[in-house]
Amino acid sequence: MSSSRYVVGIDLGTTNSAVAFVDTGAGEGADAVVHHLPIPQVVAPGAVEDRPLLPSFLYLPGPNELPAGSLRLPWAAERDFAVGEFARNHGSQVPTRLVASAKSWLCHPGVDRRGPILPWKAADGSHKVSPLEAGTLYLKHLVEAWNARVAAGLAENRLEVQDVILTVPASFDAVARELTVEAARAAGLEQVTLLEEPQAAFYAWLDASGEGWRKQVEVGDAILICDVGGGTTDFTLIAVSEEAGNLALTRVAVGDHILLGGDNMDLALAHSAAAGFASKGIKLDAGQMLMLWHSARAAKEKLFSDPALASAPVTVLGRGSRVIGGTLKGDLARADAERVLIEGFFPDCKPGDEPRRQKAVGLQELGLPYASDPAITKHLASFLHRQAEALAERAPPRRRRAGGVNPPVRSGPTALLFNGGVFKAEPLRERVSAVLGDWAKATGGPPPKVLPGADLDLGVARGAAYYGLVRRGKGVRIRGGTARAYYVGIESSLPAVPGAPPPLKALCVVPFGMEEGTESDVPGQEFGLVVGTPAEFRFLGSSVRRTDTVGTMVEEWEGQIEEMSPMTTTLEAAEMAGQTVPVHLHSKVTEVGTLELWCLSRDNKQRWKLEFNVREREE
Amino acid sequence: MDPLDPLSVVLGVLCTLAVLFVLLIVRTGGNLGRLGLARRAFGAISRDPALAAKVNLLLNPPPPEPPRPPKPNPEPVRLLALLQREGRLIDFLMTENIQAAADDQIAAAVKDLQPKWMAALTKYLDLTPVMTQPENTQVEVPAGFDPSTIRVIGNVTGEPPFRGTLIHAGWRVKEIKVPTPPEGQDEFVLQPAEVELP
Repeated sequence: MSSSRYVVGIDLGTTNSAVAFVDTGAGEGADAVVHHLPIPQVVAPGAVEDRPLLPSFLYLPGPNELPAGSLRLPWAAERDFAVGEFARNHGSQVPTRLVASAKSWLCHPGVDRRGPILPWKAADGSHKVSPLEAGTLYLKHLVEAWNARVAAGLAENRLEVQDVILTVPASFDAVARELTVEAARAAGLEQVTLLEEPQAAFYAWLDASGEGWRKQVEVGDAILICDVGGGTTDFTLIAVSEEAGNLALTRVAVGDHILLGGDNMDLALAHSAAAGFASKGIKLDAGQMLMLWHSARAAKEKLFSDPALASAPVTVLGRGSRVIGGTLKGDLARADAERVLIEGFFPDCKPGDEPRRQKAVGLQELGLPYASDPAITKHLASFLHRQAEALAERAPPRRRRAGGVNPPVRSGPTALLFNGGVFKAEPLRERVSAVLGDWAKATGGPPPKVLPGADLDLGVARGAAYYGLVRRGKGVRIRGGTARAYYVGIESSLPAVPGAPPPLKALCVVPFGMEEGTESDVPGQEFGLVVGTPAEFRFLGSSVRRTDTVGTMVEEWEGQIEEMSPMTTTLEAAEMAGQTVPVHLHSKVTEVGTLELWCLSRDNKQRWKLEFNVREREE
Repeated sequence: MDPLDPLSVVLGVLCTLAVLFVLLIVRTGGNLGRLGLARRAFGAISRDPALAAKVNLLLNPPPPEPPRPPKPNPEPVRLLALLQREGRLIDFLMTENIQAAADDQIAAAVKDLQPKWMAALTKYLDLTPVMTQPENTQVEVPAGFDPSTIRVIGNVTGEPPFRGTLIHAGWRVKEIKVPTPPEGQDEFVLQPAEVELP
């Protein structure tokens, strides 16, 4: 496979997407420079402008809703839907036509991810798309923008044939990763590799630090990457160890996909400001709440960027043509902002605190599984608690004082890297550092050092492009393999008891940390599948069980292993219809970063691939 | 008088027909083809009413339409539409009773909107001052200056170059970058009416 000229990193975010690239054909330079691609998009009817980010929103207008030619793009004169800024802005006023957070729907196991379900609140009969299609359209827009801007008509410069690194959250399981790759292929990208977003942020830091990174971390360090974006929160731990005299990096743990982010914070501020208006007797309607949301966000940014300000104005302009007469003026005091944001989202808590889990009320509105506890620090505490094993496993630090005592292995992270637009606010970064420092002090260690110099908005795309270079041999690579161990569910052969489902045993098919590009047979268990009938396997994953090897059967797994979408296959063998074929399982982690499970016949001559069944699970 | 005998009648009719025929030939200038066409047309028109209507139009063309008034040029209001979209300028300028509005309401609205107006004018007109020096400083007006760019006031005597205080730096449009709206857009509508559905 010949190397393409460009190495491209695509950050397909929940709220914003970005593209960064390295031009390896630009001439010899010791450091390849990472560039960003400004993305042309419709920002107003008839107006197409460049922006550094592409908001991940899709607007599907009805027929005759917008004037003809409003959504035209330079490369698509007949476009009748919009992706990007106009979709986000106009869609916030017309939510029944707006597809938002498609990425979060892509990893939601309770819905049919290939079926047309979005916009979620749209009435039946209106134009709907599936989460997979929405992701494909965002990627297609990026592909078209690249081809219009960079390819300059040359077929070998088109994005479809370049090396593309596509980022996914570390908490994405095998099913969501598979769907992401499918969306990329549907958008035309042929050479796609997946990379976890926190790792991409770390690569961006490596790129920015140059060779100096080795002086900022040492053997035995555990680096916590805290990524709070617009809609999601992700935690990852990277351990620094030594290999043949060089520092080596290994990703040792990932957290759950938490639907909590900057948008929640802005909404909380807006509600607090609305309460201020309500105390003056003013009630706001939905349109005014929307304006208040934007105004509160702008006030928050002003307060956090200028520590000397005691308050920032919050204005809601009058709706309709009475722009002055209907104006409402309020103030966001620094104390209120800090109370809502810092105490609400980053409260002080103890290392053993668990986030509050919503008790499943009988009737629950189906939708995205938003986090019920907004305290990010509590989610962090829970993550570190669950991954204590990973933290304990790492190598002890080098002896620093000659003849002195080895410093104790600290049980918390020793370095901290921030990512995501939320951490542009320095008070929030300080609070997270302070909380981690308190926990470290409780175990006798110093507070974690904050790794500087991260680009909070564009870091993931930059890191992805840098990783593309790393794959070609330049720079240091973070090892890790799969972030989870995966299992197949086997029902125990116990006599049936009415009312109690048969207990499920979990057979490990992919061990934690299985490297990309490796495969293995699953020994010890054979299944009899009937040719011509679809067979379904229950599929589970765990981010905490680290020692199970392939073929291990786990009987007690409550709380440690979660069930995911089942896998199905239908054995096609025309000459043996109706027969039972004994098969064993064979697992493979591809170079791309996805998981493949195969059923192999006893003589290894025939093989059938198991596919994820992403339709709704019937309860 | 003798009764007309049949031979004379027949001869008389034949002579009349021959004279008519000669007259017809003389009329078509000797073109016997047109004569044949006229004969065919006579037959066709008598039979076919649609053809008769078409031939009637040919023979009696309708009077030409009076020239339509030229479509008004919407370009001058394009910028206003943009300022309304980005900064609600028309809503602001058309405030019905500004005397009744409270001072702090006006202040809050202006403080919110003025940055957007400034950004729009800078983006679409690249609006810059004519003279770059700060106001209230001493400047020189060169000889041969363009009176539409610089206006001299005060104690104006003699010939340029002049030295004086810069009172107003002026405004100049460097480049008109007003984009064309989509073709489906009625440009005389600066702000579409908004109807919210419950």
